[in-house]
Amino acid sequence: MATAEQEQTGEFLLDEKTLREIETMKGAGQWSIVWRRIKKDKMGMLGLYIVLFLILMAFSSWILLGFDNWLTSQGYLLGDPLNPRSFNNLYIELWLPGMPADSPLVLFQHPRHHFPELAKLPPSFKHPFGTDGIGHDMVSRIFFGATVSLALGFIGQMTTVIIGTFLGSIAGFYGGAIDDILQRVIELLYSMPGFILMIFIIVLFEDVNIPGGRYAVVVIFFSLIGWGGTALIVRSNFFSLKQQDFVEAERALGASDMRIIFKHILPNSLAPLIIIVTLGIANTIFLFAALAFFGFGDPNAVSWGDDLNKWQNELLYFPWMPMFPALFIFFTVLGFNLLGDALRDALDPRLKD
Amino acid sequence: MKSDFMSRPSEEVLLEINRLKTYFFTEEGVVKAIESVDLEVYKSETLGLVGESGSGKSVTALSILGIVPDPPGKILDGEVIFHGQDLRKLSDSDMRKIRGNQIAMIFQDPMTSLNPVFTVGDQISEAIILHQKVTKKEAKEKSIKIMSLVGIPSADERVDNYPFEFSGGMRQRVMIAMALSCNPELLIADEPSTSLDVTIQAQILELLKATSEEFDMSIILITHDMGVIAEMCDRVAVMYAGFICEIGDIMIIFKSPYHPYTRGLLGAIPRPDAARDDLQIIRGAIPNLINPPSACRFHPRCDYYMLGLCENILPELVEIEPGHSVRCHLYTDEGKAWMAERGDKRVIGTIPKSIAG
Amino acid sequence: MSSTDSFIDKLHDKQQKKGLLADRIRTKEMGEDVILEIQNLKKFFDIPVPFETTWFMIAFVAAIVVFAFEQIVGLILIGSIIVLYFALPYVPPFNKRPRVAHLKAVDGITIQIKKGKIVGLVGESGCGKSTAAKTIIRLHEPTEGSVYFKGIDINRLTSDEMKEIRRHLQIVFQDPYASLNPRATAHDIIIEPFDIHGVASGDEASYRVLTLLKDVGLAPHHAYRYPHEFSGGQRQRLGIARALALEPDFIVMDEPVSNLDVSVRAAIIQLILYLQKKMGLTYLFIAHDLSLVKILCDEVNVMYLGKIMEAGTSDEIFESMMHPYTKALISAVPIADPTKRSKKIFLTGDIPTPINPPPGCKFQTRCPLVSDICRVDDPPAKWYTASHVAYCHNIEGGEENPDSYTQ
Repeated sequence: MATAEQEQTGEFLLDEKTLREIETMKGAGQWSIVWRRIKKDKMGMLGLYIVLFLILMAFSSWILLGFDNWLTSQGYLLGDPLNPRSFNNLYIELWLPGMPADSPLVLFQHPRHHFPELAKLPPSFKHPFGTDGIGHDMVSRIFFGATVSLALGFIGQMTTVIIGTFLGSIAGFYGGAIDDILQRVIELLYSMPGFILMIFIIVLFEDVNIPGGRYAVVVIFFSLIGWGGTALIVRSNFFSLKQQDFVEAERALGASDMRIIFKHILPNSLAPLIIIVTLGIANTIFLFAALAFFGFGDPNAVSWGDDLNKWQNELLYFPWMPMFPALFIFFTVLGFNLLGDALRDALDPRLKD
Repeated sequence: MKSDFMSRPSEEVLLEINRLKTYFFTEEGVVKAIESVDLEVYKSETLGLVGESGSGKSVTALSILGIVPDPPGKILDGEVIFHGQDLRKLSDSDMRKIRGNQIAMIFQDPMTSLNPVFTVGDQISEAIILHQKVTKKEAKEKSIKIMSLVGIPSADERVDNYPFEFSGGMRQRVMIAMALSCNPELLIADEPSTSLDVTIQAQILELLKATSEEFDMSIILITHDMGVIAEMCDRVAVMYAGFICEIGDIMIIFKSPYHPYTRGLLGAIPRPDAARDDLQIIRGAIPNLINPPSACRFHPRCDYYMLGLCENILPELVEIEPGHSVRCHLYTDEGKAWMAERGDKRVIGTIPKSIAG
Repeated sequence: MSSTDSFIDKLHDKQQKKGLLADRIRTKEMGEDVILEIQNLKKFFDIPVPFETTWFMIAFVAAIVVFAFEQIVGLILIGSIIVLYFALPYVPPFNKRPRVAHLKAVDGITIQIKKGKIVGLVGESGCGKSTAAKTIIRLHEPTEGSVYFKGIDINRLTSDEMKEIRRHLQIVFQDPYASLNPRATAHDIIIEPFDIHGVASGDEASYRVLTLLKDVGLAPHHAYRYPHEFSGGQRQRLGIARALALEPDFIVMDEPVSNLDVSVRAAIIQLILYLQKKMGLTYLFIAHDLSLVKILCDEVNVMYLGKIMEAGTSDEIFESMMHPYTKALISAVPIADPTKRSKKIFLTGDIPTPINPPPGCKFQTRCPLVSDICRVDDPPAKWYTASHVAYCHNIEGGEENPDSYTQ
């Protein structure tokens, strides 16, 4: 039978070349396993495609609008930038150096410009989603509304997650009085009716003029009261992880608290955070759309929720006007929820192979 | 303790398993948990089923009772003959009559195998009512009787307690009471003492020993602890990666093991008189059963490995002497031919120094 | 090594000057061979009892009623009740109320560990041996008592000094699955100690990682695998490699093989012994498997409910044990030899919880020799040789003091 000594005698050479070779042999990481699992999940992949499509749409519309404004302000397009009826204010155009200045490629009707003579047109070849009550092109409104709708969801969720993770990790790691106080504060936040409070705040700050308009107020307030759930989950995660042997081993090696938190505990609690963010974005988008639907949005903003609010009474006569914004809100929420569920399954540690 | 455990208590075969084969069809691949298990259990004997994790000993137990989780598990082949009838051919309802009534099982973890929302009395009574025509009141009286039999103090009060009010050892006693409630002929004990402390383990093993004699019951004792086997069993079957590699009388197997794996296993545990350096190592690790080694699954770790033979031809179970069978090429005709061809003097049947004592 | 030795000397001088080592200046006087001395170490855990909230509820409802009649007074009342609710648990008389129950996990253990020895600490689950392990290397702060490493009281060191001392004190954990960060590769795990202490970096660190992997019987191509790609035995090898990285003098082995399969277990034991010989290590070996402790350890301490019941050399404990608990424990161990089925001593009942235990001997509830004095007084030490001690009222013989054997 083999003894320990015999097992140790397998000599090997450790030169520069071996070191390099070994470094290229990195094994399959955690994330490649997660990706493999998501790929198997058909609904999850559908969700992922929807989410990717929406993100692409929001990004490209944002860049396009910015590019168009810049072109106009720089005078690359013919016409008077101050005249609202001027050609370059009516449409979103794509113009590249070398193209004739008077005939740029017209992509969309400008989302803020309307033609009263084209109002209430049903979907047609020229206006695939129809036009709304005062003559906006619905395709253009939907396309450019994606930016605000998604950005609100992302920013709102990100801020709550950052605040929640920070407070939750401190409370979970150090425990004691900090933990007690945080838990009482979260209980306080949970006991408040969030939606009604939001409406109250919006009405209160109606006349406040800050960059970003009314939605900035909404997002700030939302992140102030919305972090409780994240903080609780992160807290319990930290609490159980800090008692694990691998954290104790770190402490036995003399690692500092910050090193333990950021290098060892946080990466291990990423999985629930990712799920929170994905599902949370859907909820946040839905919440802001709901606020807008009840008339507490920003009437000047181009967003799905506000369009839905504006034309909700026309549902019986001009169904396309409220239908398309509602449909897009629905798909967004559906996409993020499908993706979140798939991530929840894929990141489940009990399914380790 | 039986005065003479060398002689088998009875020659009457209670349970016979032939060529049992159970696979698990998982996402990662087919787990070939049991490839071929043959064994028989005699009346009122204690058979030890020993092996490391992943050897298929628990799956064997589940396969006998026909409660392999399906999906992903599936019994593909073989027969389980109990009292002359093949359990695999029985209908579900017939099988349910046998399960718990004639064959009972106790599990490793007494914490999770009791339902936390019912009193232990309710749970034992339910097992009784399921198989016997008694009223609720009679069943409860019977459960009190059986609880005091398994050594639960003041059973008439404890019968109304919930599982969380019992300690680990007491819960295992409740599990045993539940298993005994219908006077089974065969008790399958799957690691009954592994999660318990040494002093509690001694109590539980003693209880099993005493009840098996009192009820004239056969026991299949599944464990990974050679010590428990040596204390409890009449015969022992050694399992490795889905095969029975050696089966025979306990005195013979502990004194002169024939299979290289049994030798390794006995050399790897600290024996009473051993010194530090006597601990022997089995090379390598337990194989992954999705992609197990071909033919004899022990060959990559075996010190007696015969090149070209062990990885190509699966050795048959060879009967060395009555009641002692080994599945190894050291004792098959193919193996003997291989050795003769090369003039190899692989020692057969000599006993390693550490085990000889 | 000389620089760390001088560091230890410096700490020693510092503690001596402060008068912290007045009664025990161990290493200098007792000879160099005692590496670790644990003195009357205690670790209690506070189990919080929920804060009584009934009175707050009543007061709160009353305040709301007041608010209905007298708004200003009501608001002040509600506000102060909320503030009190948060603050009261931290105000001195109220924070000491029976809000906590003591779980006496380790209740005064004294062990001397000599250089190069393997000292065993055995006991059943819940006897506090793992807590003791973590308290000894100061992963928990002890409630009482001291641990002297090479003569320094490590519980009085500042965190910077402690970080330096941690290079000499390491631990190997029981569960090879929980003790490795699942998101780090083997290389990341073993390079961690070099990184924390700034011992080595870059290619030198990588080289040392691979050397360590080789030392514990792993191959260099294992370096970039994740823990879930290893078997249990290989994971435990990784845990050992991490503990060895800083070349410690003393390692606590907290049940390093009890979660492993039999055939793998022997290989890890061989590795542990091989490394001890090669690097001159000292182990505190914690286990519940007595047959393993018997062949492995030079000295054995038997623990029950946070106290040492009996201590002595391996032969003394296994051949001429005195304490009734040790006798029962050793007789209960199944022997892997069917020709030696032994007569067992069965203890009645279960292990009681260590929460607010009764006074007197801890073993009183299960002891076959129990008498009235066991329920009142702590059992006295009875020394049978200079190294063999048992704590019991009702056993015969023994001296009060071990010094009578050395004279």
